[in-house]
Amino acid sequence: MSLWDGIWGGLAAASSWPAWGLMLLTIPIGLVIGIIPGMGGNMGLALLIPFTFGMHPIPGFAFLLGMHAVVHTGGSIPAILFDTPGTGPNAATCIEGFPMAQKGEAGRALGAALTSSMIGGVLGAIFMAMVIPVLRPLVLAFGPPEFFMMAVMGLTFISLMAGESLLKGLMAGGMGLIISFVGMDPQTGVVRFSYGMLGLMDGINIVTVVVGLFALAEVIDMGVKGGAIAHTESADVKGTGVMQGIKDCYTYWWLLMRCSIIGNIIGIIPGLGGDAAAFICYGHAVQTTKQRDQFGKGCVEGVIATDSAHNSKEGGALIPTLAFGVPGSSGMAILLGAFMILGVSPGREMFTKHLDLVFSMVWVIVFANIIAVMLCLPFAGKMAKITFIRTSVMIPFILVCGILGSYLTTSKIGDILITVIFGGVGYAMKKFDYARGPLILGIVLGRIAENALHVSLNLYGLMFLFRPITLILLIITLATVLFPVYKDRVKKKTARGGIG
Amino acid sequence: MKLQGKHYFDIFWILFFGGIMITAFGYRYKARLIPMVVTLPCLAFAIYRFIVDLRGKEEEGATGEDILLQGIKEKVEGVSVGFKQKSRMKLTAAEKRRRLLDISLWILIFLGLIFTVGFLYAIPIFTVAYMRIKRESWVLSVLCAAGLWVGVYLAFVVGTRSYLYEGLLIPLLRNQ
Repeated sequence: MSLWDGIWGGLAAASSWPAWGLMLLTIPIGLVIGIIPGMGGNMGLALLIPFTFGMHPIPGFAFLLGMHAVVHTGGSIPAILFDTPGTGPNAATCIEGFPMAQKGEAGRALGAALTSSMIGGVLGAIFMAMVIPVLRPLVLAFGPPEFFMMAVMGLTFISLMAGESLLKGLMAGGMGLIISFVGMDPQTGVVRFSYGMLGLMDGINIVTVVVGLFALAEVIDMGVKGGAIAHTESADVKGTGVMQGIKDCYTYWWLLMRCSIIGNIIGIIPGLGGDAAAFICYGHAVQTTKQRDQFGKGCVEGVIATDSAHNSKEGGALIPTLAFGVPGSSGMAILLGAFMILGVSPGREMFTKHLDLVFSMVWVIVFANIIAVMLCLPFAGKMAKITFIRTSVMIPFILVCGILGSYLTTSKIGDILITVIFGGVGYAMKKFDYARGPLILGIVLGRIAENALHVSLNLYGLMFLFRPITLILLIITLATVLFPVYKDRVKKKTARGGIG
Repeated sequence: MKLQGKHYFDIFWILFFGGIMITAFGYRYKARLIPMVVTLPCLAFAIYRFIVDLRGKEEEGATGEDILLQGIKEKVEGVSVGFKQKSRMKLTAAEKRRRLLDISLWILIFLGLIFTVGFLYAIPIFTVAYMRIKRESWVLSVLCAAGLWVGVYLAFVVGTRSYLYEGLLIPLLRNQ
């Protein structure tokens, strides 16, 4: 399939009725999930993936990406109005957004945040489309050895996704890998870790684990915390000012462009994620502004910088996921799991047979961002009140959707027990500060790595390690592992020197 | 020394990796190689983690992202990056345990209902029971239950024609 065929095929597919209709259905869901603090895109994906079972890939991805692309857009609304970030990256929006709301400029802050989110998201998708022709020949040069090494490299990113503790992240990643080994070993025919249970002989489905780790763990957390989600005082939404906020995006268009590019690049780098994108761009705005004294007191430039960054990150994050099957974040790891459910393999196939699917994702991100902002601008204030819904109302909805979703993915009733077990594990991981992303990354990459390793060994023996691209990837992998250790040593040495 | 929640969770990790290791020993060489390569260091990490937690030490530095974010925060001079959030009411440890037990029981009740009467009956029964006991009004409870049931029925029974598990009791009653 040629590039132009892919672009137009993608547009036609993304604008076709099932994809368009499903996207329209999930965009409000994504906004609501974004608005409710603590839920986030990962839980949204966990709840929605089971519903894609049996769908064709393009409508399936329109359904999932329509939701995922707009979560941070929704998250900006409570960040500005209640000083409560809907998602992690929206914490950066609070810094300038809430002081603006307190000054009576809530409308202006919302206008600027939503418009910059939209433009950032669209620019992120455009950058993604521009990178595809460059990546295409590289991906086509990849064989099983290179994909094995990419998967190993992806596993080393656990160290970047690990959160507070590297050891905890590695343990979670190890658990994910072991889960990926459950079931029939394709190489030897041995059924591993099934303990004689028929239900485990086919392996553990990723959705079963994801629903437990994210959705059920959140249900337990809500049950323990109780009350309503938002426990903050709302800022007075005085004055309209939304148009002024939109105009601000044009006044500071160059800042918006720069932050969108930075956000996109950060999205490509695995492990950094939306929080880093938002804070780095906020820092960039502070360093380059002419009115530095206004920052911290409610400066619209800070809102524009952060909101354009976290939405443009999505397009960037999809690039390594689609091209090499290496997800850079837990959200992308879950999405990669959805690829497998929908019968699509990332890598070579994506850039040959399914190029229209890749471009349909670009279009979905563009459409979703535009539609989300059109929905939010008139109703932002009212939508923010969702955060005051009591957990006693939300728990039955999330629990029913999660358990039902887990069952429908495999139609095995025993799988809901696995989901509940992982719900408990997920809650404990959340409580004791274990990052859950590495566990998902382990499940996804474990299967890819083991299969690619066996094929590579059969084709080339151990010499596969010395193929040029494999060797380069091996060096990058070693650098990824060793650089933080080296940096830590230098830091400790400097600290000792400083004390002495 | 009294063991806390995090210690029990550390023990869970040790038992998990230990159990996997013992199981893997029973497989032939090719099938156990990769699981062993993964499990062995993870078991060592889990034991180390348990010892560290027992000693009550906080180890390890920040990750690359933390260092990066901290660096940015430090560079952005004169700007407050902390956002004020009105804190929730502090819960006592006993109250947290009680609530954890409560929500765990509710999840088990929902599972029990699914296994007994299947999804289509379990969903409304659970929703009304849960919401009523959590002191929501009758009207809201029934409306939410009806909304959920209609949504599930239209999406899966009518829409995708999926088979929803009927439980152990319903087929028995139907056959009588």
